[in-house]
Amino acid sequence: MRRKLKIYLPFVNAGMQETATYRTNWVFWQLGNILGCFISYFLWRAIFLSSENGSMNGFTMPQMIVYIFLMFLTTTLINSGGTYDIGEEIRDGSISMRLIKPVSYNATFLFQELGNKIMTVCILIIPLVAGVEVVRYRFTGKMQFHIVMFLLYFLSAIFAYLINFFFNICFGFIAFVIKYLWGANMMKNCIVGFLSGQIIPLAFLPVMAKKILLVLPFASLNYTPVMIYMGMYTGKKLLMYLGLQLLWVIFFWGLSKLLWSAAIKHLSVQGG
Amino acid sequence: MSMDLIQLFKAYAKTGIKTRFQYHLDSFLLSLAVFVREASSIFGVYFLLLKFDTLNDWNIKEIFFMFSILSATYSLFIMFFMVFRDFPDWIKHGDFDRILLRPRGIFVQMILNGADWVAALSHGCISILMFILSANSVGIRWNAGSIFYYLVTMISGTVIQGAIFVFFSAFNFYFSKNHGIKEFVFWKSRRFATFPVSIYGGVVQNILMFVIPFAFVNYFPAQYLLRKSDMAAYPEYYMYLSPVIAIVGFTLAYVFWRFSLRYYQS
Repeated sequence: MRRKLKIYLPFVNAGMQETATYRTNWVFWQLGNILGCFISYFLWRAIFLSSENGSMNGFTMPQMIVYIFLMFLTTTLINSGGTYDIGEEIRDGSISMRLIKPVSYNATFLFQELGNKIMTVCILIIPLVAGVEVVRYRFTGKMQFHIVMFLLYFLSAIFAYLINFFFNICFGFIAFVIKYLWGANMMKNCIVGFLSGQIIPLAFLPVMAKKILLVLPFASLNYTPVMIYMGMYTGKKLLMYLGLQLLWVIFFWGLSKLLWSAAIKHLSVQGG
Repeated sequence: MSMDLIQLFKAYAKTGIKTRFQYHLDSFLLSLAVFVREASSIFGVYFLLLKFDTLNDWNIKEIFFMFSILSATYSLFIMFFMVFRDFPDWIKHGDFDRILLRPRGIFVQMILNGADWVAALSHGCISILMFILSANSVGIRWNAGSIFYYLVTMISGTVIQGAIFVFFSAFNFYFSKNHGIKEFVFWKSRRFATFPVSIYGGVVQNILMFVIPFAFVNYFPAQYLLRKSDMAAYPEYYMYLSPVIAIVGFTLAYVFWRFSLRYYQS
């Protein structure tokens, strides 16, 4: 275990440095995303102002604000770039190098992203959570931050990240069919974004669609962690959704292994 | 002279389309992806307005119509001003030096060259789709007057967005890299124009009207054609201001760009 740690720790470091190098781009990218959050905020404000109800599908205005900003935070936390990297390797053939390197490629990649995540957590999580809690306090006059809920949110976000990580690796294998992944990847991100509640909460979709989406892996990505943070899932329901997340982690992990071994066979045929 | 320009544009367009669509499956997927990205944002609004009917008095059809103006002008913008988006790369790879050496106006060459046809196609498709879905059911009487107004809207909307980009690309003469800033300013502010400007807070509204004037790309022109009640908050003449904003904005941006060109170092 210690030996393993020693091997992979440099990758964490590398990931952190990578983020630090591109910090201006990163900062502007995130500022742009926060601007996007404000578009949603104004949209919902207009909707709440023109409606007589103080609550819609179980969401009040302060809850909606929490939802918008936590959704952004979660999306950033669970973001994973596996599709591109594996796609590029398949395209230029360097995927075969994986067979001879003495480290697990998935693991190196995971640890590199971990470094990047540490930076994200340090910079984003405190101001966002604090901001959201101040808003909640101003609307309700009550301090609503719950450390247990927050830790459960964090756990759920880790599961979500792992689902996304393995899902993206699986998706990367379509590089065997499509040469440039940019378009396919963007399309995937948009569809996954919509189906995982990034644009509007799944609770606002037609009942049937919502029921289906909650079981599919998409909701396990962003929606579940945010719902947990907001205290919408408690008790049995909470355990059930966490369990479902774990199930999807295992599913996509297994699928990525399967695709990998299939890919090796495919490669050996070509390499002759 | 102008015939000559059209010839030149045709030649550029032909090679441009050929290079962009070289890989059939990839360019198809790419256009589809841009299409899906744009559709998913408007799709979200659709589901919301199924439940709430209107957003500041705008129903879903009217929002579709406003969105169709945004995508149509954006699609035209991509055909003529895309070079200014990729300008840092142009400078870096020396493509800009190539342009300086040719016996044509620098600016003209840039406008005629480098359209992103894949993206123009998908934004164009979205705008046509939104237009078909809405144009006949939002109570616009299409006669010579309104059609003329619509055409002017198309041109001024395109030019306003062009002015924004020309202005920001001028900074590339001073700093070689600023992808992040442009991302921040342009792509995100365009998103604001998906919804009626009246839903935003005062500061945001002022920015959208007078700093990055997207309100004049689609909101006020749509108001002229649709006459929604939230127009009461603004002076009546704003509905006729788009061409003025386009001319003034573009002139300023062009002068600034020309001025900055002096500081260019190859």
